[in-house]
Amino acid sequence: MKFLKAAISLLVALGLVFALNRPWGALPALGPFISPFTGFWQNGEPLLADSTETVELKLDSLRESVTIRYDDVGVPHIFATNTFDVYYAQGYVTAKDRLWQMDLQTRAAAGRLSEVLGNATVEMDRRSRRMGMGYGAEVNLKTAMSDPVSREALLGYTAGINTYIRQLKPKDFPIEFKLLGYEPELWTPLKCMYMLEQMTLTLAGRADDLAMTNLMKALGKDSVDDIFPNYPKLMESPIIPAGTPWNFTPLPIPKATAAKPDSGSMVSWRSLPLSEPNVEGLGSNNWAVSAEKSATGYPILANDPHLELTLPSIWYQVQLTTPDMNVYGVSLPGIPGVVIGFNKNVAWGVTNVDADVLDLYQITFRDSSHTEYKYNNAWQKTRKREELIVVKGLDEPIREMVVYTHHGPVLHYEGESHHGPSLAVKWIGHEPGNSFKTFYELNIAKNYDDYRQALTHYVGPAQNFIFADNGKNIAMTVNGKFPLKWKEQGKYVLDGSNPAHDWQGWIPADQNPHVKNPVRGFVSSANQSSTAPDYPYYINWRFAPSERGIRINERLDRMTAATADSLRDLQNDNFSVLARTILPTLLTYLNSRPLNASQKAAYQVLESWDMIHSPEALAPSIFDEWTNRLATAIWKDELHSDSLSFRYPTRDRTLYLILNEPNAVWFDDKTTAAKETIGDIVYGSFKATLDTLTSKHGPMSPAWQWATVKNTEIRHLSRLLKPFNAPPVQNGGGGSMVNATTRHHGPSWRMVVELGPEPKAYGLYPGGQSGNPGSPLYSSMLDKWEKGELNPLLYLASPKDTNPRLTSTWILTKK
Amino acid sequence: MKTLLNYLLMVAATALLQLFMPWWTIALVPFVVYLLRPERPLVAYATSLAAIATVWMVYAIFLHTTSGGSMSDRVAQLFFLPNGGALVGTTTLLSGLVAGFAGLAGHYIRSAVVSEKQA
Repeated sequence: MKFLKAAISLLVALGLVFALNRPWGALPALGPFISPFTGFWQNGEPLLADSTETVELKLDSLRESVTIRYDDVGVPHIFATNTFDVYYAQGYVTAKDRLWQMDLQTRAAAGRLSEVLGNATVEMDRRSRRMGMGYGAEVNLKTAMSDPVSREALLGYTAGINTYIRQLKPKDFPIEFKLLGYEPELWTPLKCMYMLEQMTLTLAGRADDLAMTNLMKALGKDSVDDIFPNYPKLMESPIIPAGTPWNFTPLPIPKATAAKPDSGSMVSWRSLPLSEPNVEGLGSNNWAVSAEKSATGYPILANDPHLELTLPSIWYQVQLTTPDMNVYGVSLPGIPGVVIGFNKNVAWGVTNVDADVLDLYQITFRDSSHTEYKYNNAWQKTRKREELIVVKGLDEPIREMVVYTHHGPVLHYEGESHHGPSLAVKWIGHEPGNSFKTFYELNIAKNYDDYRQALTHYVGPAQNFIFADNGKNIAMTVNGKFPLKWKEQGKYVLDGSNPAHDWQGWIPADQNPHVKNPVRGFVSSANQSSTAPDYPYYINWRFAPSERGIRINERLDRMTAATADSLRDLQNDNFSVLARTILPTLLTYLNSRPLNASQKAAYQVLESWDMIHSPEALAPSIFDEWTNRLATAIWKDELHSDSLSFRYPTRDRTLYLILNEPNAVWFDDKTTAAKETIGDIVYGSFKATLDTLTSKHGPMSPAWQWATVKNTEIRHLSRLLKPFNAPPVQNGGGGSMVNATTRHHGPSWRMVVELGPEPKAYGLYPGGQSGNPGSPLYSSMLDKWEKGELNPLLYLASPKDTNPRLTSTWILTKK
Repeated sequence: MKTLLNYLLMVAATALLQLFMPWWTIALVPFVVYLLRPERPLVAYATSLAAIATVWMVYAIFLHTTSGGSMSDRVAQLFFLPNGGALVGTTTLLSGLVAGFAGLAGHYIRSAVVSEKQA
């Protein structure tokens, strides 16, 4: 009996310990997780005390000592004596605040999520491998490591991160590691390159080639040329002002070859490892006003990059100083240096260029071994790269053989899915370059010439680099490595066997579109067309819609005696150029139609609307839904397929159709026997809009307020851990507005810099410096961001500066 | 007196060992204590439970309040609990349960071995 009792109680005790010591499905091992000594309890950080403590750390592999002053926002101001140490310290503090984010993003880029997440992410990993992210990261690393400064920075940054990781005990791991049940692994310089690849994929990883090829087949050349023109037909305000002279002799343009591959129907982009095409809200604004236009007598520069809004935030503020450098701005966790910022003499910023730097080539393989493909009337050998995808819970890694042609990796094989031929990708992400060096040289730039020199190292993702300096210059360069193409090369799928379809070299860097001190007194960009059609080279057939750019340029044109606050106000502009352009015409079509009481009420709301997408207005909710439905009502009957990639014409072309071609055949809904007119389509989509809003939000009431309907949400990077999301956001704006806040995208950093003897800068992002959901600094800037306010940025001259906003001091010395 | 001593011994030992040993020290300590020290089974169970639950509860409450529940309130939602306070309760209960059975196992093994020797 005693033995039985002993056995039973021991079994129960051991059983409990065993059960609590192992993960169950998605649940982490509960014992260590719930223990106050090791588990999630350790991740709650004390509420902010006005701490002015001094922390001294002895660390491995530092060269000299480093002083870090923190301010009340949690920004580290780093004072080092040499390049290695400054990036070492940046790596250390970034890891301290953002380690899990850095781990996840590099895993995603490298196709290594399944190692820690298991089966669910195998397809995502396979896509990253097929896209050649590893290949791209490796060729970029080789270039970066062959440059002494980049090498020093990458090694310093890596050493700093690893020093931080090595001193962590399991109880110190960020909460996400504890929840997902894995440990941080050491950093490598290659991971920095993966971060750059990931950025390139996000900003320059999409292609219309498949859709356009399918459209060409379905509609024929005349229709496609008509509704997919190569420059906006209705309105545009290009980034480089029209009339800017091109002071260079262009290279000869390669001859267009008419021979299009007999392509058949193209697979959907969803089967390929590409980014979703045409996401509105993924773009950016920047502008700078000249000294003449400003109240300060010096230029003022503003930038707000629009990206997916997540927590932890995409950006991390930092000040980096050495005897050669004193720069403040935002960095990307995982990449040394400052990407957008300012120093004593200059300020710069970036917006994305919608360049066509990703082209798909139809490949004919000799046989199913994929070892040879047709090129220039001969069989050419492929190269193969075996990718091992390690999957948590599987004993053996999954082997994925990625086949490389001279264009690039093969993304899709004939017969693999329902449609389409084999396709290889030619992508700027595989081109060796040293983007870090561009940012490094901007970080230490003193003048306009330094800026121009810095840009020459840059490959991609192409950006509109805006610039202002104390010498009272303002400038804009549409910058990146652009392939030299014939007009429309890459608008459709190219023939991988025809040498004439290869990229034929590059646009010389000094011939990239550029303007310095234009007479209009400002420079600006909002992802719209880079240039007027007279630029001699082809960059793309479509860019982001023009409305943001038009609004920015109108307001800057009128602006005098500008201050930082005038530019801040413009960043929060919610006026809709789209509504101004189209709404009066749409309402005219409703005049002759019978409207019931609620439709009349909605009509009146729209008619009396000031066209501002303010958070509390009802009209934007109606207008936004209506314009979306209208585009669908016009195009879906002709331009849609469930299995093939199609796309609608640009918004500009749709507006042109409504305003100037009211009798176009496109208005007829082919799915009905009747012949619809534009009036029928406008009326029908208006009614459907109100029905949709009513079914979602009830009859028209404050429940239709724009902020509620738009429902901007800032999600945790995992997208799964909902309690780590930000509280609901109530703000205005929208995809076509300067304040480009959509449901999941928006201004991920807002910065305004007044140049001058001492720079005065303002900025914040919708989140916080800490990536720890249990930190008071997790989303501490969100309230101000939501209201459109900015924080003054603390630009220190020396580690001994005094300022009431400074909190703790960290002194790092070598062990 | 003996019970109080055992209680204090377990509180001190777990609080100390947990700083560098894994979480399952909360089973190990009561198990060893009652393997070595004679006690009635129910008292062994209850004292183990109380001692370890005290350690985890006090530390959890401390971390919960100093952080304003910033992490515990969020993790509570992940586990479908109303707030971090409920999570303090869960933490306390779970640690107590493990410790109680571990203490009991220590006690019964001791009695089995001792009765074997006496026989």
